[in-house]
Amino acid sequence: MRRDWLQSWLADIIKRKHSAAQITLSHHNIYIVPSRQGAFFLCMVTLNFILGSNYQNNLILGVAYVMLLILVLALIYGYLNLHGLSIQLLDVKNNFAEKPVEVQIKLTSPHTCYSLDVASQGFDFSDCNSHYSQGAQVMSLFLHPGPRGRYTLGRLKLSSNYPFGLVRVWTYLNVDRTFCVYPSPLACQLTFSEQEVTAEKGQYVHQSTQSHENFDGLERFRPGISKSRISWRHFAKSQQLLVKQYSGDSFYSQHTFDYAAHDGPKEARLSKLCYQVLEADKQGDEFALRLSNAVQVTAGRGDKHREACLEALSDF
Amino acid sequence: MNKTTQDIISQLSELILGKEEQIRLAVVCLLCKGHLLIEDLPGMGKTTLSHGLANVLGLSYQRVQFTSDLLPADITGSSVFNTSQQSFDFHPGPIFSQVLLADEINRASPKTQSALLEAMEERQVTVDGKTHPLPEPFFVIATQNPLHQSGTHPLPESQLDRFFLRISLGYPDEHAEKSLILGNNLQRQSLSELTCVLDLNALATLQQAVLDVNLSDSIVQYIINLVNFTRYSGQFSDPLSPRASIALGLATRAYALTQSRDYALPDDVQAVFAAVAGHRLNISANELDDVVKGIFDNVAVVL
Amino acid sequence: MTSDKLLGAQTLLTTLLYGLVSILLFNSFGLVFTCAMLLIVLFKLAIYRGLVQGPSENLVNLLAFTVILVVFVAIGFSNLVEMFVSLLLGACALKTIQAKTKKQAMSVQLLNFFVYPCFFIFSQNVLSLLFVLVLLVVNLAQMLWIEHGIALRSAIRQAARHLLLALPLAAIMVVLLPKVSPFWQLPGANKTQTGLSEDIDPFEISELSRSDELVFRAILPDNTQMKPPFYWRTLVHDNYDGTRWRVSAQHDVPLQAPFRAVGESYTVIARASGKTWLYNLGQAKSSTRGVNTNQFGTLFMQKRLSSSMEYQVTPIHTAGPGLVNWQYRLNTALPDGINPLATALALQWDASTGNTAEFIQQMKQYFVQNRFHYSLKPPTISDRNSIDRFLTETREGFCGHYAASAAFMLRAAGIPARLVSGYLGGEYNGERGYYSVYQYDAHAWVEYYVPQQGWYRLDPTAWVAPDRLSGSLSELTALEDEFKDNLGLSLMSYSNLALVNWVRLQIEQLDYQWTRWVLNFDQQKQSRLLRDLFGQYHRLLPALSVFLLLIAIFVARFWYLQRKQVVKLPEAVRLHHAICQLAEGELHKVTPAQALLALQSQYPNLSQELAEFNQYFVKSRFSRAQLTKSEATRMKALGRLIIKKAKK
Repeated sequence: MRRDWLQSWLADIIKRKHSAAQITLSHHNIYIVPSRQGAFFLCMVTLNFILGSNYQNNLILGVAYVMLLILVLALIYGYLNLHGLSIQLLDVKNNFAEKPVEVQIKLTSPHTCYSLDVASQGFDFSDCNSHYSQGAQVMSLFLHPGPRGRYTLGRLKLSSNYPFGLVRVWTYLNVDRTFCVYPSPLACQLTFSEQEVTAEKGQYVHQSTQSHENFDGLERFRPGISKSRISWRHFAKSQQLLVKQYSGDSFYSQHTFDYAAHDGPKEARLSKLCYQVLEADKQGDEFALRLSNAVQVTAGRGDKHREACLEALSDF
Repeated sequence: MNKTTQDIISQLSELILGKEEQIRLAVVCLLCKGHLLIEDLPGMGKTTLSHGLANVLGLSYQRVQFTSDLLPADITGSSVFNTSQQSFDFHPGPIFSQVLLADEINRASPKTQSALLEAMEERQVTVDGKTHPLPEPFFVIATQNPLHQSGTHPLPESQLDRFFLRISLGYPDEHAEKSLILGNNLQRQSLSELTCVLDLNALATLQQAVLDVNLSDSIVQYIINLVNFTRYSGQFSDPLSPRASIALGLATRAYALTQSRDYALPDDVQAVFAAVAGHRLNISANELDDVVKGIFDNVAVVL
Repeated sequence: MTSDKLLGAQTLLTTLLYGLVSILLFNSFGLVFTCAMLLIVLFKLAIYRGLVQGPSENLVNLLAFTVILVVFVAIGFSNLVEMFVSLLLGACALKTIQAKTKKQAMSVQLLNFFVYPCFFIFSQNVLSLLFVLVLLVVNLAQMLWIEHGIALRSAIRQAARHLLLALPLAAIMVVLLPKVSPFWQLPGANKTQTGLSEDIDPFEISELSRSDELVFRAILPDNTQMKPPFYWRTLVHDNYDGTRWRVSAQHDVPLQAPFRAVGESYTVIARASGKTWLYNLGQAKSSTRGVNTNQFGTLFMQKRLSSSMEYQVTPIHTAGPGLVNWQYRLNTALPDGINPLATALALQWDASTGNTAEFIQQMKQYFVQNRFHYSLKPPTISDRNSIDRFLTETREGFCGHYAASAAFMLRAAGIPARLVSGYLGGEYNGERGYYSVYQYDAHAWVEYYVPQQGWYRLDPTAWVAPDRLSGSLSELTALEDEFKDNLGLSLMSYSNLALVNWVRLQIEQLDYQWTRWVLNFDQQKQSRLLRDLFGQYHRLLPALSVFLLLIAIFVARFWYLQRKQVVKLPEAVRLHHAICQLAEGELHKVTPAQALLALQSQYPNLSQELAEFNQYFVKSRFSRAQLTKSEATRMKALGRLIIKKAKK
């Protein structure tokens, strides 16, 4: 009971002190204690002290004192090792399930910083024992969060056991950053449901056929491409459906990917949708995503749109 | 030597009134052996500036008006079958000149644009498997209309940094405009009246002198801080590359040289920053001033 | 280098150091264990070079068992400390072979902080200190190497810096922090036997083994009461069995009889001998803890002297009840039927003289007239009647021969007599005023009893070699060659070269100071020093001052290091910043030209100065050319002028 209270109180303090996108380390946010090895070292000090006292051997006694002082010095040097270091979370890159999520952290140090370990408290990853020389550096960490969904990055712990491994110096970076794990794409038929051409969109298609300037070549017909681009001349000759490609303005088709159009378990359906989104984006097509009546992404194209669709798939 | 740069700038300033700063940047670009991109609405004096620059420098000059039907071969040249000799002869295109004015470059199709940009980078043209080196110096001044104009193809982003600087002239101030109106018909004449103040040797010497300008440690650090800000502040989708840092350093030196100094100041960095970084950061000319000011406010000058 | 290979290199260094330590402690550990250690080192080296596979778990266990066996057999339980340290060393060496992970390697390094100081149990001179310090620096550096991957060379530099900072502080702590009494008795390290022995049988020895090893030093008060010859009494042999003089059974029994102190105290600093007996002049007692007096008036300790010790000696005079019956019998006891010639001679003198003094006079005449002479290489006599043959045939020998013969004849005449062994003389160091007594100063003489008066000293060797009394044996010119032959190769044997002798004396003096002030800085000395330093507050203040001193030093160090981290701005920039602060806004963040404009608009009357300052500032910071001296001064003056005027 009391322990719980203590822990929540500590967590509170840490949250208050370390919640920022960027923190610069100084006396109020660096924690330092002798490490396990430091405790063992202290045992050696005691042993030497007993030995020196019993043999009345000033030299052994002196060694015991030297060791004690080295431990104190280690505390100072350990503190200064992290002091002035500035940590900033730059970016968390979303990724597909079972692929690592890249976390980019920028470290700016006014001096060389030895043996810095970065670990996440929520996820299983760490980067150990790297030295950082003076100046700004960006480090990438890879975490493996688990199944599809949206996660909160939570607390990052930066620690070092410099010097001699006798002390443990650490600090936290608490960031309210969420990231998504997209469903892993599952190859499937691109069931393009061709959109009814509305008045405005019809105009768009119309306009683009008008504005072609350079005939670029022929390409195999894929479902979803406007039939107006089919080269009927070739079809008549070779019974092959070929589409005229133009440089300059390219042609885009529009699709709507619907959750209801797939069957199977939920995750598989989402994986298939993910695959479709990626394929459509690769072809530069315009697409919309419809997960349920409440959750839809309206038609669009480009990187931002793809991100939005994938995030919707993660959240669903 | 400093006199020559001053001379170029003052001569061109008489031609294009009230645009001394842009003219200076154009000269900087030339001193750095880079290519210049001028972005403006029609009728702002883009062509006049580039034409004037070529005249003052005494360099051979070609102008190509880019249109949507312009083909790559129209620029680079093509092989023509010579019936008398029974062989293909290479007929060099307009790109084989020391100064090439590519007018309204974004009207041409991406293919043609790419052909030009490739030649700019490699300083050679390959036609039918044969490589033809371009003349020395080779200086491309491209003008482009603001992107929102109809019938334009944006230059490919990945190749934009083939241009060393991007400047825009903008409207002249009232005083300059008044003079323009009054002396309007004199202008074309004076373009041909410009005296050539530079020969090839002098230009080479000047370009060498740029490298002798002192770039103190603090200036280098300032440049690094500026570049890093674009990389790590999260405000820019296309941060500056190391090539941009190099360009920034070089442009700073050249700018200091045009100011008759053998050392660079933070002011020089600020003066060239917009022109060097604007197109690389993919920021349109009308937003550029605000963005650059924001960067300068955030990144303190290193003294 | 792969991480495995690197770890191998890291632990190999430790193994090599263990090998070095065991070679240096060869005298304590003996041949067998040292060889075993060297084999382990070779094994590790072979593993590192890839000649042999790393050992399996079973093999390591087998090796561990072998090492334990070697230690038990070769060192044994009689030498507990040696056994303990060698086991520790062996275990650590095996651990370095076995270490596969960083953590295991680190645990060996941490254990080394206990292993290396154990070297001090066996040797405590200045060189040992330096050796152990080097070991500690390397150990710390290895920790940096293993734990942080810092290259060994720079790791050593870092570690040395840490240690150098800690060393003087630790010395202060040793001096000032209160000393704790021993918690319990620990066995001391055994010393190899040299010097005096408990049994004396001079006739068996053909060549007296003499070494120039130091036995003890004595600081005698500067007065006339104590003057040479100095007979340092150590052992009393009163048990004679016909061949050997055995040490008295009463030697370890504290004195019961009343006594009174006579004369001034003096100090003796004894070297570790592994024995219980100590050294003093005449009869004495000691105020030092653990040092007792026996009934012969010599000093002894309860435990063996395993490290060097300093003790105070006060001469005493016992007023005992005289010689009781059994003591009289013990001190006149002779086996029957040996040395008939000597017995006859003694009885003849006894008959012709009235008292002991005259008897001794007769004896002296006999030795002098029959041309006995002193020799360090006498022929051996292995005969039941050895004294007879010495008196009649060989007639040459060292102190033992003369003392044993004289004591035999005294006893034969019914006079209580006993043999005393100890040291005679000592080398005087004029600069520091102390005597150094070496093993080659060992001596034996006779004590005889005169009823109602007590025991008297008799040195029959002095009749034969009177020079022997005046100083140390080393100063005896007559025997110089013979003496040096016996010493073998040492600095002493070249002492006739002025330079060598000077060096020897310097080392000797350093060692004296080291022993006196470092090794024997005990509770007594500490409390005396603290009383001198802190007066009446000597109980509390020293510990407190150490505490405060440490805090002060660490805070200073911390502050210094932190300050070093802040990059110091050049003076021009600092001045510029100061000027920029005169105006609103963060002018130090904009270019100098912009700052100049802003300042000029705010301080129009200063625009001239501001412009000039800016010109110098820009030149100093951005131009390739440096400011000349006068320009720099001008810039500083301008800066101050601007700040002064602007603030008005």
